Amino acid sequence: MPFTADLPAQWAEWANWTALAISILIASMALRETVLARLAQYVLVGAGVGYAVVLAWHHVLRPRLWGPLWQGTLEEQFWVPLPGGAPFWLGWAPLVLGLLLWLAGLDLLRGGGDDRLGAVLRFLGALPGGILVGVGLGVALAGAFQGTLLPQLLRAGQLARPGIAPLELWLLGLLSLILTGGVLLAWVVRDETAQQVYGGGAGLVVRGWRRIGQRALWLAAGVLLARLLFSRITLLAARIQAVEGWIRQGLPGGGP
Amino acid sequence: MSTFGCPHCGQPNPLNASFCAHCGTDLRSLPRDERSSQEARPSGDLPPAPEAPLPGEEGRLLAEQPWLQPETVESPSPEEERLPEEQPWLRPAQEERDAMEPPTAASQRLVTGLQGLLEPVEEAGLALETPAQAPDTPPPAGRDPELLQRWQMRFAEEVPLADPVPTPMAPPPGSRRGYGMEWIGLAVLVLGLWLLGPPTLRSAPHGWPGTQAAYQAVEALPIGASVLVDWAYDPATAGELDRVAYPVLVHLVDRNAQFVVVSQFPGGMATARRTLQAVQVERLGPMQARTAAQQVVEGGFLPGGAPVLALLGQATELGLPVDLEGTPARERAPLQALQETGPALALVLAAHSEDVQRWLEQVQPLNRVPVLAVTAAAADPVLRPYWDSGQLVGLVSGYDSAQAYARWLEEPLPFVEEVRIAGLQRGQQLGFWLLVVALVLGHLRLLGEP
Repeated sequence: MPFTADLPAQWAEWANWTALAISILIASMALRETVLARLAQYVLVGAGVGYAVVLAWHHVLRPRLWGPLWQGTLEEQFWVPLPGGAPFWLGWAPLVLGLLLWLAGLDLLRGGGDDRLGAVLRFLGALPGGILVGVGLGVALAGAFQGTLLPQLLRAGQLARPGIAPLELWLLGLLSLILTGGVLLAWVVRDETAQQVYGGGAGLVVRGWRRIGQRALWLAAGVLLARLLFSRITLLAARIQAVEGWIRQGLPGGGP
Repeated sequence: MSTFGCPHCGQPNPLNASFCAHCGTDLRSLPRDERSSQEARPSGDLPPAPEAPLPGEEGRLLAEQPWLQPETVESPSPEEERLPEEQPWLRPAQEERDAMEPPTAASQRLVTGLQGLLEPVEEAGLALETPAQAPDTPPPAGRDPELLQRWQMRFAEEVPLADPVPTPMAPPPGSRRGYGMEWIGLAVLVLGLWLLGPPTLRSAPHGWPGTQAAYQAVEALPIGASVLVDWAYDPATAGELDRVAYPVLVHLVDRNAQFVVVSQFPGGMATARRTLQAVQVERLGPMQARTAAQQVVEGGFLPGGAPVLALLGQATELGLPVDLEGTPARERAPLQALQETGPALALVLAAHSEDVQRWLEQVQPLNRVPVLAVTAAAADPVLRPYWDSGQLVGLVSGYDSAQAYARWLEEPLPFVEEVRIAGLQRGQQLGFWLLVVALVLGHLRLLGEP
């Protein structure tokens, strides 16, 4: 199947106008909440979830789980190795774990009672839940170490060697070190602790460094907020331009 | 409702009153158990009259402060006192009448210091006490008294100890439920400024560091090289990312790159189809675009977050599912080449920095394929260290970088695309300046408040 978006022109036009109508209805929430605005939100969320479910079936469940499981005889399913070398019966493991997770979901649907059935369902659901969380955390931590912490430390080490990096980069590295250390102190050490444990001049330095870290945290929070706001302004401008384009196309004499 | 007598004027007040409703005496220092023992004085039993001023001084005082006249502190008659109890609808009128009364001399004791100029120090100090709570009453569950006191010291105001009783607020007289006409007017003004404004506020785009390196990385690819694309944006952010990705995709199509596209966004593949088709039609024409589209491998929707990406990094060909028709993607020609030599370049098109970071943490350390990131401008500050450390071979972020990239292309972008990017830049700049003005006005207003 070619990798194209071959939607008939008429459909594409209808899709654009529907998108415009839903955008306007949701934007009207800024003035007042109405039934139509709420309806538009439900349509948006419902369509999004439905689309995600269809995609998960077509791209993941059917080709990677359902299809392979029902190919060949039962003996083949258990003993014929997968292309990667793993035994085929491993294919059943995700199905079983997924069903267990669904059982835990059933408990939520029935209100999560304290009866024996609820306890059994939660126990069964805890196994795949634990695997999911554990694997996710393990992979994320390993990735953060190998992809961010280690390369950035190595880079900082390179910059720290005098004569290797230009002065401005060296100063930038020093500033990063001060701010990183300050933020760590702000998280770990309390002001009173710094005074009690270190005392005297050392306590003063630790407290001062800690306060720099606190300010850096606030500054970073402000930058993140500004970043978010600015990206939203950009997207709004793009959306308005798209709407303007559709309207021009719809008007007599308008073009693409 | 239980009442007690004011120690100054003797008039009845509710048990939880902070000030006397009749003479304004500060009642906060009066403990609750003492309040219940204070009975209201009979209406005829007026407090002892203050020392009589001298005759000449009396006239002057009465002229300057007419509320000191005896009538202003007169107590209601027994019939008046009984009426609100029996006919509660008369209470608002009673309260309105009380509110219209001029302040009594005792009410001057509310705040010490220069009123309006100095902070009411004693009030702040009193706020540390919890007047709504009896001394021997344990604090409500879940509220640590020390924490409560610390919060009160920090904000010099009382933390509500009990859930406030909502009181219906009537709209002020003369007001009406408006549709925010002022906001609509402002929006129309801004739109007019944008649409009718000058073509662009700045002529030459500023190519940020990393843009030229990105161009060189694509230019150095052999013709027909495999490019693994992580399409990490969907229609919600396509307004910006489509325009930023456009010149890079054009360059890759010009180099006849073989795309293998994956996405962890449900709407990512549909966006990829639409955008790539537009680029291919633009550069190759409709017929050749059709052929080129056959060569693109749809890696599909890859839910599962970081663990799935790690699998992609270990063995790309195993991490990709089959396509929608059920044909194993591994059997398609471009993917077989991918299995033998690996991708020549990984292209991450992302609206948020986290998606690029995830790729650099999970995939790039395992397959060692150079990564080129195309991102929104907002993602740039977070990704800049990765460019500095050499983990990214190129970084194209925002309209400026996209425009700079486009100017290095052998065949320039169509005029329509240039105009579109210029208009978006103008809207972005206008929004930015509006934001700055809003911030300045907000700060000025805060400064002007007492």
